[in-house]
Amino acid sequence: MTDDDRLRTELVALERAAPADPPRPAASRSPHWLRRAAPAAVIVIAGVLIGIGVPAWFEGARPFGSRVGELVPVPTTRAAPSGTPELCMQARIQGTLTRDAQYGFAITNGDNTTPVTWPHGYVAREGAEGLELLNAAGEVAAREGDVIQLGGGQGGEMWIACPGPEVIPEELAGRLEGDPKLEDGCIWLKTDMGRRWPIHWPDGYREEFRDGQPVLLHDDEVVAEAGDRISVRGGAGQFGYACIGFNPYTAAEVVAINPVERNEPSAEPSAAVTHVPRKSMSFALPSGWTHRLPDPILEWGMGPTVIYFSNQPMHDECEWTEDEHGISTTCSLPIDALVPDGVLIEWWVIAYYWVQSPPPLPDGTPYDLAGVAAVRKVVDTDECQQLGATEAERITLRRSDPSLEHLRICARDPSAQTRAELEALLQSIVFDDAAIVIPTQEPPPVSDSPLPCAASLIVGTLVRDETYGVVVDTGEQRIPVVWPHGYYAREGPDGVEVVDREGGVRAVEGEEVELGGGMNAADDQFLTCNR
Amino acid sequence: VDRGDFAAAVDRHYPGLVQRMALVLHDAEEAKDVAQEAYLKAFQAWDRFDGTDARAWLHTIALRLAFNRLRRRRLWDRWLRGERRDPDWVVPERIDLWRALGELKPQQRAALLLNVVDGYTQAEVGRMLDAPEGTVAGWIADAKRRLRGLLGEDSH
Repeated sequence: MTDDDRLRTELVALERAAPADPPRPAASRSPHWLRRAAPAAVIVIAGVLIGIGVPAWFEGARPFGSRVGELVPVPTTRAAPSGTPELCMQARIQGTLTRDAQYGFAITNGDNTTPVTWPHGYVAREGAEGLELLNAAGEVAAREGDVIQLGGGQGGEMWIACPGPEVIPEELAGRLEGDPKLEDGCIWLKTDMGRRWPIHWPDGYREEFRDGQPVLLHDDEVVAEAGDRISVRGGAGQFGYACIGFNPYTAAEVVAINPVERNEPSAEPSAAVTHVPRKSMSFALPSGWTHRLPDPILEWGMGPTVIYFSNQPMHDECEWTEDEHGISTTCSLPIDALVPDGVLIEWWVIAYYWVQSPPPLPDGTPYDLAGVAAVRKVVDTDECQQLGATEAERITLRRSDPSLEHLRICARDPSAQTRAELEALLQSIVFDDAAIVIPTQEPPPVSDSPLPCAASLIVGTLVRDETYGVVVDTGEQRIPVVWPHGYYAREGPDGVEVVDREGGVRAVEGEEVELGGGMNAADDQFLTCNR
Repeated sequence: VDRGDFAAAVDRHYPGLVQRMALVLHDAEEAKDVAQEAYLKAFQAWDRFDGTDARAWLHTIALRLAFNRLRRRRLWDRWLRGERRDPDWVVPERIDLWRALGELKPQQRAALLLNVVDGYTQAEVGRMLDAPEGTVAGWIADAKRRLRGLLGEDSH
């Protein structure tokens, strides 16, 4: 027996002694490896099965994690084919989001408990205070115990949620708005986030139109007019139909009414630096520019909108209309057409959950957006729909794994001044979780083509560096590293993390690393190429 | 590729993958988690499997998950500094081998097992571990030298 044979024999014996998973119970309909994984698998195929209710092999699944932060699969619908609009059933349900032993979440209203199939890309996460529901962009959409309402419809025993959930707040504040021509007159409070809430007012209050404008009355006296900011406290209240397709908010109490200054400009004034916590970003708007957060309905689905910027006035991008078929929602862009020298930036994100390797950044000119590696390229003006753009660009970046974010810049004959303002705005953007800039190589000339790799090896500790983000400390010297194309660094819980273009953490500050590659021509930086 | 074929193609590899991950991770409990996660990812990526070597494909997915997990575990270990006890399933005559494996780098353990136990070439191991062939050769040679010494034989 050779040394290798002996070693092989010992290793095989050791390995075969290791416990494998217990054998599959005879009664189980799922493969043994699916007993915990089954709910996530349903994410892939649930859409196919919506029409026939619950997948049989979902039974017995236990979709709960045991550790805070652990992702927990929940049943979801299949992704809509690219380019097709999301179509939702028009029914609504509301209740308390509760933990369900089999499906992760259910809606509980009184004695009724209905498990939910969520939109594609949704997933649950064990939080410190209960289960959290994350939307396709990775944001917390609702938490266990929240009172929510859900659009969609019943499919078998499941509620097919479409779009995602809306949490009904305990207190609500918004401006009084209305449309006398919509459904014989609808009045609502419009929140800062753009959501319109029809209100069931407390006793003594009522709403009506005067001269085509909404007013709120208390004991028959006008106490608020259009544009006034009203705060109410209440909750979901009675379930039922209301204007503009949403369930009403039932106000138990009017907390405050703040009259608007009638000469208040409609456009939001520019600030030196605007911070938008919900989007985890700050920016400095040039004079005459505004930003706009999208209508909430556009924050759902597979390509949620993040924000808009423009140097011309923006309006609501979604309209609710009614015809003989019922209520429908139509969304477009917040401007109808670009004026000469006009610019619109539309920013949206696509998350690639459940894809093993999220797509790399597309080809284009390397670009740095707020410290995040991005690519920028000129695109066809057809991308700007009917805006009348004469120029169009797209910037693509990966701010968080596993998502790609896109900024589409549409402009019509921009002046030099406007171009400068656009660049200043882009350069002013700062993300709250700012990425750390590290040097990276140019992309390969052909996508995914192999690069020649020098055969040197450096071994050392990855340490933080003010100039290069991170360097390798060999004990004798600190060697700056030029990382493969698409790599970036970020602050992690244990220090700086170097992340590859697929979003995997390749090294963490303080770790010993081995890097293959070679020194550059100037002999001052190490070009690594062992991905 | 028909997803219905998935279980038939990969199910039989599952027990072996759990056992392999037990050695690579040096932890049988974590091995089960990684194997399940790997099968889930494999299921989701089944359409992209080229239909050749399902076992190698599964091991590749699982190993990358394992290395990510080990990277995080090392950081925790620095804080916790807990003593790891020898598992009950290792018979006394192989405790030294188990401990010696624990002294190797995870990539070394994986490369050694893929090469010595499974018979994959160094180039194939390199592709599975996403490492240059020369690096893999170095890992395997070093691992063999250290383990042969442990087994009481002459090192070469």
